[in-house]
Amino acid sequence: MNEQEHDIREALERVAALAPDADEAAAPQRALAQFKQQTAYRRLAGGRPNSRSNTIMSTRRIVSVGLTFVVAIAVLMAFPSVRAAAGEFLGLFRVQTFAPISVSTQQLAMLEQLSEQGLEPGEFVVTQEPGEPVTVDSPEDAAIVAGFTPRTLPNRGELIRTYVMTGGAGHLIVDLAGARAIVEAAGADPLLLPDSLDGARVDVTVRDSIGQLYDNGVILVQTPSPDVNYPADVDPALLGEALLQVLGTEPGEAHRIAQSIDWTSTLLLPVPQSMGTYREVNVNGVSGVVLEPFDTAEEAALVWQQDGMVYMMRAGRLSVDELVAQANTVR
Amino acid sequence: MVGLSDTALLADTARGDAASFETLFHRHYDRVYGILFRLVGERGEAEDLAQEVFLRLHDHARRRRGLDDNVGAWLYRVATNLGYNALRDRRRRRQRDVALVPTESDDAEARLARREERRAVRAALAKLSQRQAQLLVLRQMEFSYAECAAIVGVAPASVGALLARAARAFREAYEKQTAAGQPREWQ
Repeated sequence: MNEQEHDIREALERVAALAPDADEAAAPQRALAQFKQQTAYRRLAGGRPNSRSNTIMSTRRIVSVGLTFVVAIAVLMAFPSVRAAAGEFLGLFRVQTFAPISVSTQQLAMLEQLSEQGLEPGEFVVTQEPGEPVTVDSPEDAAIVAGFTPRTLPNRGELIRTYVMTGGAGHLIVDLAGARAIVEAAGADPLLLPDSLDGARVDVTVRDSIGQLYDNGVILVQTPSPDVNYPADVDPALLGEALLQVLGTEPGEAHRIAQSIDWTSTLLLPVPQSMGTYREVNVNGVSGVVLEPFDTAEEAALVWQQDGMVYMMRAGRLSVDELVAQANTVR
Repeated sequence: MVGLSDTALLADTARGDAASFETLFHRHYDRVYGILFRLVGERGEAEDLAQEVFLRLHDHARRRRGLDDNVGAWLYRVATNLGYNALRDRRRRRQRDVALVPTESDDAEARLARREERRAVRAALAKLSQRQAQLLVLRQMEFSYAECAAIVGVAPASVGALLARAARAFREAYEKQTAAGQPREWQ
């Protein structure tokens, strides 16, 4: 036996100490019975039970955590200004503009697969669940509930429903090893994520939103920009470069784009290639993004930001040109 | 049924054949549990995580309709990832004093010695990269080089060299741990 084989054998003998003892051995029959019980419960409940209620989340939750990585980092780099808070320097972001980026179907499938395989960027804790839409009698009533006066489409169709959705809040505790593993598996450079990111806490607060449905099918949703707080030593440009690579942008191109974008005011808007196209338009003097789905049964949508509010309009029965024209009448 | 490949069984599972899934379960449960037990060191947690692994396989089968060509590698990779997630959750929650073995025993001294040895081994593995620790655990469980390569995601020809480096790193870490006398295990 050579030295290398000896080293390996010795190490494996040590590691053998971790093998389960007789009273710790696998019990596959009992495990299968438990599994059947869980899946039967899931069928009855129409969802997936949590086998480990505190540490393992449902499928939907796990997928959302994977997407949260994209969203959280996208949101991370979306806002300007740094301010002191509670004796600590924290970055505070607020959405000012949107930057759409096309994402391939393969890349999205790969990200979904990574999430399914248990790669997670950290622990996302929802401290306040967003509410379901609650119908109110008028925009004035919505203003009382949500705390801001909604803009409306004054001359276009009849307002047939107004609703309010309460916001939500949560935080992500970054697990650097998990986040780097995702970045690496996506073909990007994991070292773009700095060591200082490990354990960093990113707080996200989404405000109440008001939706208005018109008789031509148009829905206008508006909400104050979400707040995102993150440690001041996090460089949003590096995270932006990593995110661009995770979304499938070539490294050189990602670096070039990352250098040209003002990450302190820009929110990336990933658009799946298979779902549609996007283009920038002017809305009330600011830049907005129109998303046009390939499926004609789906509605186009327009997003823009103005005066600290984020707006989203769905086209209903309008053409894209009509949608943009109507958005310009929002007052 | 027993002779069918994993891929065929997964395809049958996707078509709603519960017996095929049970065969897959029995075929892989011991190894999935074995990996998880070695990683987290606690029976209940390893069993819960193993359930999660098979729930994911069940969902995976329904969504992908059994297209995977290496179901075993997929399962053991997911088990490893979930095991490491659990360890990192534990670290974050600062649960540093999790008992690794039951305390009630007629043979308390032997139990104690075994627990200390496990702590030292786990502490040494914690000093290694995830891939190095993963390779040692898999090889100790008698996974072949080809299986290790598929699970870890490296070329089969590189497993030997990676394993040798892992063994050397382990020995150094283990010696430091035992000399220091205060092992800080995987947590």
